[in-house]
Amino acid sequence: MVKLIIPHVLDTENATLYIIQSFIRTLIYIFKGEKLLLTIMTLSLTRIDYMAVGSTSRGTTKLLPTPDPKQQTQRFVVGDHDGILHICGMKKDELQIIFKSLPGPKVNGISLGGVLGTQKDKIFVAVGNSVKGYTRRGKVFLEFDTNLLEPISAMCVLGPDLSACAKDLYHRYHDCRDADAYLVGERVIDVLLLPGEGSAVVAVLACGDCAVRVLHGGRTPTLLRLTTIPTILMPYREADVESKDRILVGTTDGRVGLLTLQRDKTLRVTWLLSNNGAEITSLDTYELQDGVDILVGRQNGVIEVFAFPEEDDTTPVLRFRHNCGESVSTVVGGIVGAVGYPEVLATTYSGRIFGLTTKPPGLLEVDQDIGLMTKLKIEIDQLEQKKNQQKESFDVGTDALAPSILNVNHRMLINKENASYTLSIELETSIDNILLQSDTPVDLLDVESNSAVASLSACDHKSGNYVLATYRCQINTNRLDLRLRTIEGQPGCLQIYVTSQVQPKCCRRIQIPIHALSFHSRIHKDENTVLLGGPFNELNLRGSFTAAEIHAWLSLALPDVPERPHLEDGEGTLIFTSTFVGTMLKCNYKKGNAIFLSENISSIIILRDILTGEATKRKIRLDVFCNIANGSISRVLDLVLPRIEAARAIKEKVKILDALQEWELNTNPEQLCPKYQELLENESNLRAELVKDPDMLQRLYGTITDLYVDWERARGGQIVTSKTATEKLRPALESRDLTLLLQIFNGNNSAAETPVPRLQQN
Amino acid sequence: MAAFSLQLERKVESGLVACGKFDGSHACIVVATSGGNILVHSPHRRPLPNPDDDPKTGRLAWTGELAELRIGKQVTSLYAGRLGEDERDVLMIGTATHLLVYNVEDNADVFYKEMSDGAYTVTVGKLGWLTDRSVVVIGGNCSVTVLDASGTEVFWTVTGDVVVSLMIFDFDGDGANELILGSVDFEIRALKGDSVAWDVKETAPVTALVALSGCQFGYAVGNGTVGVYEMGQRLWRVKSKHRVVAIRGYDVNGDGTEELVTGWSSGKVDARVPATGEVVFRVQLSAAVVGIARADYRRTGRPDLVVVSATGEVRGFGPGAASSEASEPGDKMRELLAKKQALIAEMRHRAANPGSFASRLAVEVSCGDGAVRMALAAGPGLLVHCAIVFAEGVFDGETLVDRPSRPCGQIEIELRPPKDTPVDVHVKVCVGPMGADLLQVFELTRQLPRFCMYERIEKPIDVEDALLDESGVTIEVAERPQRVAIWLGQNLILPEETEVEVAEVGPTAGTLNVCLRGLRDGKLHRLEATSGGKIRLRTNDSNFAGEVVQSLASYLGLGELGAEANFPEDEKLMTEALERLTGLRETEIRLRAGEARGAAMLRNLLVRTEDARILGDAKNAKTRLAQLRAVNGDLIRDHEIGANSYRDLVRTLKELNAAVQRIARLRVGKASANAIAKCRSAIRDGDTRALVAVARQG
Repeated sequence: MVKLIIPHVLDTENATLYIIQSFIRTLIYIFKGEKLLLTIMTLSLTRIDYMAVGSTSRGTTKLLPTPDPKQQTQRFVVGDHDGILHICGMKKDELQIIFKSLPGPKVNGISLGGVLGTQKDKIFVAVGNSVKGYTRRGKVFLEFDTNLLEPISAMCVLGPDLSACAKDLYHRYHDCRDADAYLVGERVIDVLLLPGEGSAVVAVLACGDCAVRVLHGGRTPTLLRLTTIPTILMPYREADVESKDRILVGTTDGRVGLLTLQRDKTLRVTWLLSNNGAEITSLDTYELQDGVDILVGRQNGVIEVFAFPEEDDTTPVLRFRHNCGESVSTVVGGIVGAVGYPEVLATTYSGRIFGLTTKPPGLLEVDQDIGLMTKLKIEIDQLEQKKNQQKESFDVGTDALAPSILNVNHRMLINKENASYTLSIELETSIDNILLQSDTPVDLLDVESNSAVASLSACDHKSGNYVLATYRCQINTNRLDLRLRTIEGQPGCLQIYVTSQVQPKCCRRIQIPIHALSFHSRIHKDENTVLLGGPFNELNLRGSFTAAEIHAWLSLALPDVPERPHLEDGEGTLIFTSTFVGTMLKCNYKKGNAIFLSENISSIIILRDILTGEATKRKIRLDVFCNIANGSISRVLDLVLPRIEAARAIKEKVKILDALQEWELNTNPEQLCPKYQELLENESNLRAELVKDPDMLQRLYGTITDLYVDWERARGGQIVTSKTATEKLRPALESRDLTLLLQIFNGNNSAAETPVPRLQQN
Repeated sequence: MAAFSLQLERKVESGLVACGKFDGSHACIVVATSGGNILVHSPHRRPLPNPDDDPKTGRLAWTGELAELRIGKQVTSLYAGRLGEDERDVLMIGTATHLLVYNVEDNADVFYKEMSDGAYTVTVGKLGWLTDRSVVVIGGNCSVTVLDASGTEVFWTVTGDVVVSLMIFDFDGDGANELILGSVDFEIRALKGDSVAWDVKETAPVTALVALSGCQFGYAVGNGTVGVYEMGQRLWRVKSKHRVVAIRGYDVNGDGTEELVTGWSSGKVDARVPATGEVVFRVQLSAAVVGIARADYRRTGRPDLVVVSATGEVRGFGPGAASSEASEPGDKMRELLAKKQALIAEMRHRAANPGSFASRLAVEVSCGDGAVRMALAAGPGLLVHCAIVFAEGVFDGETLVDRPSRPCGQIEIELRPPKDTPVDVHVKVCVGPMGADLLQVFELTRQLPRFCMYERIEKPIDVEDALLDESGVTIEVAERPQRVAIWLGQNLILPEETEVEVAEVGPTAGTLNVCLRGLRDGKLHRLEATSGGKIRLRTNDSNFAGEVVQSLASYLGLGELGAEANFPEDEKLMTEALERLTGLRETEIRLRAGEARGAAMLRNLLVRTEDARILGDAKNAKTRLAQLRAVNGDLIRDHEIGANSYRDLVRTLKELNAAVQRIARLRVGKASANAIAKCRSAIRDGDTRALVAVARQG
């Protein structure tokens, strides 16, 4: 009955570096017939901290090449939000700053370039809408104003070509002269230039509509659609040689993939790692130990190393993981600290630069640089003095050049599988507390990974507060993940007050809109999803609005609406799917006329309320026509009822499991009937399923209740409160009887003549 | 890191883990599993040479290293310790009704005793004020019972609520052990015989107490807070969103002093330095921690730290488990860099906030309209965007946020502390101009006085008669009314520039006469102190009266104080409860007998049904089955009635204990202890008259 288990400890919470002895690779446990794969990491890296700069954006740390990496360490260059560019390197075992620029506007990106065929040792820095070029010693050789209207958000340099992207615009310059431009119409997140045939270049763009576009010689771009938004593109490299056709890609849901650029300038996904995690912020390839490794930096502070698979059809194996506690802005592989020891150089959001080196920790202690520490101590003393002076001088006038403080790095991402949002908030200093306020009902869900003490305050709906929650953080917390669930049809605004621990205490307010159709996500025509569906309810709006106006209104109601409308023959099309229910919403709009189609009457009604509201605000008269399709209800019910069934079944099964446990009958399952044995075998899965979304059943019931309320509204303007609707629907929902439900939906008047409903409309 | 790890393959109930040397030398782990089972794991048990010698008669059934003990009732507490001269540990198992003290080695009961208040926590040790025998201390429903090694009651006292944690510990370093108890009403008390040596209100039910070295002890409360007290002073506390399941003292880093090891519901185990709270050791388990024990599980001669998780995983850590990861290379460097970053950030904040020197925040605390009101005004030219009030035990969570829909110059926050204890409030106010995204944060800390929810009012003429009724309490203190006035002034929120004054002229010269109105219920109370040192509180709220007496006694440094009290409503309730109790006890006995009869019948029928089945007598089997069903139905019904009456019984007992506690709180020291003892005997005898007499005269 008692079994000894190999001691294994994986303490992920441990902020300090965790050294796992490099032994054994993979163990396969045969456990109740299931194969459980336990990976033991094969790489051991030790953290060494180098320096701290101001907070940094993604991709603003680069390693400069060196003629002979076997003899010499590499220098690194980093640009921060204060606009300071540092060039640093090891000299006599001590880190020295070789060059430091004056402060200025924040650095948005850094790219290395040089004459084709030589080493890439020229540094290109994107600041605002201009690009500055520095030599490896810090001499400015180029100052170039791109004339873009917006600040550069992504940049790439290849030989004489420089591409700069701002918002939804891609622009390429050849020898600082305009070469080509392309208005993508979607947010461009990253850009990569690859050499094409002859002197031609191929531009690869990571776009906000989940697509990777390939621009090649002025033709319409070829397009690869991913399931989520790509966040980073990185050419595969071996040492200094960058591949011309292999690109690593990272996504918002934490996947890493390898794309291959084919001869016809289309992209192919070679492999895509399926293990999700936090958003990928940085990627690189480098040979750390025995073969090429993929270095991955994530939004939640995790740095991972995967072995690059030698064959295309195998997926990479995790070799190392480290959590540094704050989001990683760059990871890059090279030789920095000591000759002969490859390492991962990482920069965090708050500007901490550290290496994860292959040099064994024993060797590190011996030659730990006392010099650097003494220097740092002196620096700290000087800072203290300066601070005290500053404290005493009361007459500090309002400084126009005062640095901006408390820049909150935040993002709110939808989790499609359980229809909720993850809000991550990060500060360059420690967070004291976070106050979350919402003017619309929002459910706050618990996040395992955060240790902040959450407290819901009583609030008065009259003063516009539906949620007032505080999160008091433990010491030295720079980032916090929150999970929340909005309610469709209840748009509003989240206001988040983030207070830092630094004295004098300040607090930054950020605002995040909640869309009315918050659980809709955009799908694209080219995706091979079934765009058929139906039958559709139709909403038709006519009035004196322009296509741009209605596009702008839609962006208030729906998430991921592109920056500007894509008009084909003056008509724009957007397609959405409800991530929770699975129904479709098609929007077709042009000047003066807009048509919206959806199987889900709730989506239509919500949209109608929002759009007519917006039109009224702008004093535009709208003619509203609403065509309801009777068959649409059974379509929605067809989608929801099986899930209600499944959710109930899980609840039921877990109840039985609980009972078995209570009576300790689970210890020897062979005495039980096969049904219960099966339950016990799947116990962990079933429980995990319930834990993932414990309110699933209630939410599904809610969907149907809303559907009924909206259906009544759309049909006859009859107002049914959701309470009466719940009462009315309960028996039918309990029995999960489609016929009974349809009878209720079709109303009393037609109850007698309701024929047996057709289950399949098409 | 882990010295050993094994799997019990059973789900273990939270908090019910103990360790004992039942044969006097080999450590065993005892856990409670669901359904009222106790599991003893003894890895070093010598199997008996002849299996037939194994006594089958006892409650324990051994299978290899494991033994099972079926209690059949929800186990509420588990403890293993030495009782009497025997060097073998005995196992103590508490349920809602009984305490079983069991000798595992002999496989026999030491004693089995009914505990009508339940046994929610059990501990064993030597109490300073009793003889030097070790005794069993049991915490129950509003009461603490002390039994000697044979199960005879030697001490009994009441508490404000259910006692959920106990510790025998030399609290003040005088060489004699005190009894420290933690209860559901947030209180930690140190009992020294009849008197309360020290007490403090925490922020949630006190779920665990553990003795550390010196006069330090660790505590944990239900809202995820863990901390350390030394000589009545809290050294530190930390709060997490997870729940603390168990705390234990253990020298994890091998420095010679014990650290406070905490097991969390998240599966985390950490060890903190008792003096500072600094974390020196941390490990994560795959499931919630259910218990921590110290046991020499590897027979190394020194105890290991043994952690048990909800899934039955047992993990052991040797002494000095933390030292291996103590200091890494580069730790220093990281610290320095962090310091530099913090300094730079602070300088930036100052540079960006030049106006912060000029702006001020005005604060005013007053009371009225049913709440304590805290008015905050920002100036000059700044508006309050929002204010967060942090306070423990005042709100549902730990915060109250006031965020006006538009930033405004002044806001008023209403606070309603539910209990008469001093409350520390910490307020953060975000202030800035209209539409600003970067706001200044003002922080202020205030302590609300104990009786902040009572407003001083002018003596209303029309309610004079109502106040003249005789309910209230009268105490005699040899103090001038002026000192009472100072005490009142410290414990009330008074309008600016007013004080509680003793009249100097007129007919009431030399007496103090104060009218108070409760903000929670609007009830009126009146306090009179004469120059003769007689203090009379006219009120019909005996809880309030108790708080006043206790607070006043501790302010005046009185160790002994008797009182005359008159609370007719309380007396009525008490009398009713006692009468009800007698009835309920009889019902209970009757139902028990019925249950036993039913069970016997059931057994009989089962055998007959089985017989019929084997004989293939379908007809007979059918009738038997029908009978069986009928008996079963009866039994279930009886059980429901029984359960209801039992719930009533427990509630009544709790009510009575709470009433005794109220009576005791009106007195201090010996008078209080005497009152408790008299009440106890009055309740035992069912003598309502005696009970009322105690309530009045003490």
